[in-house]
Amino acid sequence: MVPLAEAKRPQAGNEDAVAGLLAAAAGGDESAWREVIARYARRVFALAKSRCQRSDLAEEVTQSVFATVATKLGSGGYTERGRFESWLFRVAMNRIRDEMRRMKRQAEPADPATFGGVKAPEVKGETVEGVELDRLRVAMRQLPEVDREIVELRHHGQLSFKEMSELLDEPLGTLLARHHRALKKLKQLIEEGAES
Amino acid sequence: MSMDNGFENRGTPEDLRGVEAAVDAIAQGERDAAPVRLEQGVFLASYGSLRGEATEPVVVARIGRGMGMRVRLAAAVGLVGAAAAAWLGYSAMFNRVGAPVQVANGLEDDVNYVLDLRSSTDDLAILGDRIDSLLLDAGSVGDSLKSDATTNLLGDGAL
Repeated sequence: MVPLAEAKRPQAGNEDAVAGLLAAAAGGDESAWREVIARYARRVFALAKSRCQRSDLAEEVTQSVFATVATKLGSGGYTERGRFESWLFRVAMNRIRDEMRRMKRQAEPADPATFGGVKAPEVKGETVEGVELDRLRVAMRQLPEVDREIVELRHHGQLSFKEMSELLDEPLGTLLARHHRALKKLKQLIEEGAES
Repeated sequence: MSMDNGFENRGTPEDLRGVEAAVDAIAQGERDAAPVRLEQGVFLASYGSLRGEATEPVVVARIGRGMGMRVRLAAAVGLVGAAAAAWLGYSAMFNRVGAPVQVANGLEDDVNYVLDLRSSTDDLAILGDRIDSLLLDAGSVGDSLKSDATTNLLGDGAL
């Protein structure tokens, strides 16, 4: 049985088509570059938005990522070997990490006492497969960084495990296990949230 | 089937599929919620780079950031103003009593010293003028003595 996540994943597959688009775009073909953007911009945006939690910032990050990619393509600094998505999302992850560091530097530390009496809001929103999405969003933010990265690359960025393996330079089996472990933690966090 | 595809199709454990589907739903929501202008903005911000031209990010309304910057700017101006006011108050307070008066007096002494120096320089100029006039006088005396001696010699010869 094909997993749900896999069934929904865009079968961009046709690596030859991507290679052709990239070659044309590198030569200045406007429509080819628009097609590349149409294929990947929303996936990069979703990844950035999930991490930054701000739409305007995610949009800016997405623009910056594609500007970097365009510069490399235009200058011949990238050779397509069927790993475009891995490369694109590596650029995106680096850019997102930079932005997160910048945000952390600018963030003002809050007095923990401020939140002493604050309780998590009662959420009764939309559910999917019995999982309340609002609770899941809270749980996502509670995930350790490394787990969250795996989940976001897989689901928001829609990368295959092979692409994630290339991007993170880790064996496929390790990534598969890390993904399952992250989902398990999410499930636990949701259940703990529901109990409290 | 390659080993990679084997991994891709191995699937998620049954008990985690609900969570996975929910994460997928959230991710799909994020992609769908992207601004309609996203692709056009990305194109405008990147197409020039593809052709080796310098491009700027398309302006995105970042109200929160803009406000933050203005608030920081206002705070900086306020801080400078407060520091200046504090300094002026501090100066005014110490001009009335205590050690800073000595500092002021010291400054006054320095000014007087410079004025004295300048006046002494003026004196030197006067002295120079006087020496010049003395030299001129000495020259005149010398000339008159020479002329007297000549007259005497002529007188002696005539006699």
